[in-house]
Amino acid sequence: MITRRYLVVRTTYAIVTAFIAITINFLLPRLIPGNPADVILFANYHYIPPGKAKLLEAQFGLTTNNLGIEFYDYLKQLFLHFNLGLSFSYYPATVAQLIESHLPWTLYLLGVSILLSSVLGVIVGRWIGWRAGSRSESVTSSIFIGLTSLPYFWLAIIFILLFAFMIPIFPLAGSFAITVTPGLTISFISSVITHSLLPIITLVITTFPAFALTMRNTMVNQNKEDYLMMARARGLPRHVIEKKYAARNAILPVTTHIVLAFGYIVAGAFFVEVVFSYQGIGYLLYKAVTSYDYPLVDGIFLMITITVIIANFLADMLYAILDPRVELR
Amino acid sequence: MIGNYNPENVKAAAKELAPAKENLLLQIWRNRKARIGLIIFGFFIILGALGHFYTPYPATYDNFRPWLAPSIKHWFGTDYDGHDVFSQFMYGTGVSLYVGAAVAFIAVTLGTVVGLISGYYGGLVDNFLMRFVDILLILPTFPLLVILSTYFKPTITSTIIVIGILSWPFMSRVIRSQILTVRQRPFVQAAILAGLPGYKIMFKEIFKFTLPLIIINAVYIFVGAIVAQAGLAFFGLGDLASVNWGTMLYYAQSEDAVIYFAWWWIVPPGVAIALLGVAANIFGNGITEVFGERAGEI
Amino acid sequence: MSEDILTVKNLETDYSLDNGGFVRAIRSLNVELQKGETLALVGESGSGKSTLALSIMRLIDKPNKIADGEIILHDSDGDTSILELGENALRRIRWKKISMVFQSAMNILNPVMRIEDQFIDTFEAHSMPGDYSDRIDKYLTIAGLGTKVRRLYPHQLSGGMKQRVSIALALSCEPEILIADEPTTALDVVVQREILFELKQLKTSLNLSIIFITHDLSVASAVADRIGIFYAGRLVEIGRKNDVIAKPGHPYAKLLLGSIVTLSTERGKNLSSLEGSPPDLSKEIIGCSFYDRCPSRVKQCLSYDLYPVEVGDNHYVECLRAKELLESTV
Repeated sequence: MITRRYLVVRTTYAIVTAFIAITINFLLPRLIPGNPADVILFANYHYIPPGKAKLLEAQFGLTTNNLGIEFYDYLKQLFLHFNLGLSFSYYPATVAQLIESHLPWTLYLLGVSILLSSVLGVIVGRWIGWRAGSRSESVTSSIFIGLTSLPYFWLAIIFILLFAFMIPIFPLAGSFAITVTPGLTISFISSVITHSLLPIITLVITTFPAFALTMRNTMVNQNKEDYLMMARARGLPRHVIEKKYAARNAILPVTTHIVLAFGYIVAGAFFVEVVFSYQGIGYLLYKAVTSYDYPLVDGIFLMITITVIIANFLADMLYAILDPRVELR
Repeated sequence: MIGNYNPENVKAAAKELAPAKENLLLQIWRNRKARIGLIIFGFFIILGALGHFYTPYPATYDNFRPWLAPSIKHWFGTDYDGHDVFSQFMYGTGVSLYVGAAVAFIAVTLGTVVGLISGYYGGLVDNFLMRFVDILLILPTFPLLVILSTYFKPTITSTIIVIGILSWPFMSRVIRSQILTVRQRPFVQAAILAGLPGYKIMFKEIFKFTLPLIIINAVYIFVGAIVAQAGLAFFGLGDLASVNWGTMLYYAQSEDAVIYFAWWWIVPPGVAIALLGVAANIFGNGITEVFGERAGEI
Repeated sequence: MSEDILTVKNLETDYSLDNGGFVRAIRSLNVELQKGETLALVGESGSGKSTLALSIMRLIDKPNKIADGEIILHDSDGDTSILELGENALRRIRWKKISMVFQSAMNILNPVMRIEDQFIDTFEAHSMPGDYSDRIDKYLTIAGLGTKVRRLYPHQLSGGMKQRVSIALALSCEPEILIADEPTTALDVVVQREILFELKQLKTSLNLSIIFITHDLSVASAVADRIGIFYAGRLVEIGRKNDVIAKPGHPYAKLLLGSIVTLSTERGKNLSSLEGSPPDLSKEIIGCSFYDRCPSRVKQCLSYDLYPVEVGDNHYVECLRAKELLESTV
């Protein structure tokens, strides 16, 4: 039940958090000791080319010495023109253009992975939850604990080693084959899908077991709940009790867990992109970091943070629909 | 949140944990799960400590033939540059564990202090601190780590500070809710009515109830930090001259270990991280068992 | 003598322990519920009275079990042995024939469903006839609640309101037997009195037979037709309310009644005159289980094979010296 109060509170959180992210973004280039332009140029060229410094300072909006005015200009550029500056390494492309062309790939990877992980987590968790205490359950749970502990990037490398290199059933790298031209053709779409399979499998395999374990634990605790006993006393059929009482309630902590894990999965997607040279935001960030492309790093940080904030907000709304008690939390 | 640990486990534990007793370590050691976790941790700690003083070859010596497969001479083979991978692994274990321990120290201190203050004083202080924590929990940690590490010259110490500062919020919540429960107990109420000063009540009456939770969180943060540091290094952010599990994987990736099929270079650091993760989870479950059982006694 | 609607024979219910042993919470218990009566079962906590309620509903879960005995329901469909029913048949008996009001209503309702939906899925489970909406309103009103409650979620109700909802739910399928397990313990005194009063009214208007479980003798004497006294998993005394209260035969019942004066003023202290603690039910008990605490014990009590002694009209006491003690007090 989304009440007005809840909506207002959650929206305020989202806005305040976004504002903090924007402020961090604005302040960081100004916090490094010395003139950021010089620092950056030195990092890139190991000397400071004359003329370039001025250009860069303008880029950062370091035109005055008044932080307030600079912040105002920065906000104006950001909100009115979606201007995040120019990229160094992909010059003359703007940061906004680069993000625009890379973000969809990441959203696709993340969306599919989170969806699959959640669904699998709930289903498998429900399955092992009803078998808690059995031999098969304890073996599955132990394997799951192991899987959740694998670092994303490491598993990605191992998968490439095994399934793209040793047994070449999946493509080694990229988001689609170089031979196909992007467009709404079957060959392009199928190329996109085959290229995304291994990255998605990597993400899902390391993510869903954690959700399944949470689901398992809550399912086990459900059996101790009074309303479950009451439901049985009322003579409700077993499938109704399982679905409308046990699973329906067990889903709530799992939802909380999924939301808390967002940031972790985003990081996972970044790693996976880097390992698979997948043309998403994570790969772009990696390129930006390794070539000291500061405007690009800043822009990506901002976009990703805002995307996660929006995802969080949506999840909060979903949670409110799932749990009528949400105001009390 | 940095680690991929199960928040429900930690929260569920908070509901029923009893206070720590004096013979805390013995109490933990008697539990089978906690013992298995401790043994795994112990193994790596000994390996890392040993690696600090002795490795078969110097960790930075690079005049062996590159891409050698594992042999008696080189247990984990050699890398692209002719380093002995086993020597690097041994040495790197110490560095990675040091990062984990230092981060855990920073984050546990922050998390405990904020949780204690927030839970004990309540009201405005609590409101302010928890809103702040909420915001930190929404901010995606990894991009924040990346941007901070890009701007500040990465050294092991700066990496530790950055990860440490971003690792405490979740823990402070858990500690806070435990305090809220303990605060309702009659003996705390009595102490408040008796007019004991707040800090005395906090450290004499309340703190011991949070100890099991602190242990669980410290272990998760410890492993989470090792993963986070490895991730940052893997992204090329961090002191790339330092030898640790993260930089080993970074070079393995950037020098195309896959194409040379140099699995011996890739597998050890990853398996080590995964083993620590398993150890943390098993240990956490064990602690929950130990203190969950005792909850009934008080 | 009026006809029985429920008979419990030789019931034994065990709770298993972590060390592999078990606690026999109900020991070879016999009791019958008469049609249209309210039978109050009184005892300390841990005496097995709630376990009896759960055994009748067959809500004893693994690893705990009903080790022996029979529970037979006598109604228009003939005799039904509850312990032998399959899952589906059992499901149909629950709530439709025997329903229950649980001790604590705090967590009894599904937190994510509206009140009315929890009525409706109960009705659907038993294919109740008629308009569900009318039925919900009717029983909410009977339980003293407004019909607006149906649209609310459990967390929006107070403890007393939840208990009323659970009473409304318990009555809504028109059961023949209602088991009320300390339905008012968690509530404050005013609400407690109201609910007791309503239950009493409902019994006559709905023609219910009620098993009323309580630790509070004053509550029992207010609602019951007959009173049974529980001790250590056995019914040590049973009889018409006035007989048990005026002429208790069992030493335990006497002590319990001796404290009834303080009982209405100071709850919880009612058994302070009793020394020692109830026997360890995980061990076999030979002879009378009250022996250790009994002021009137004699050596023979330890070798006494338990059986109820009839001390008056339908008044039974499980004590070797019952008659002798009764005569001495009169």
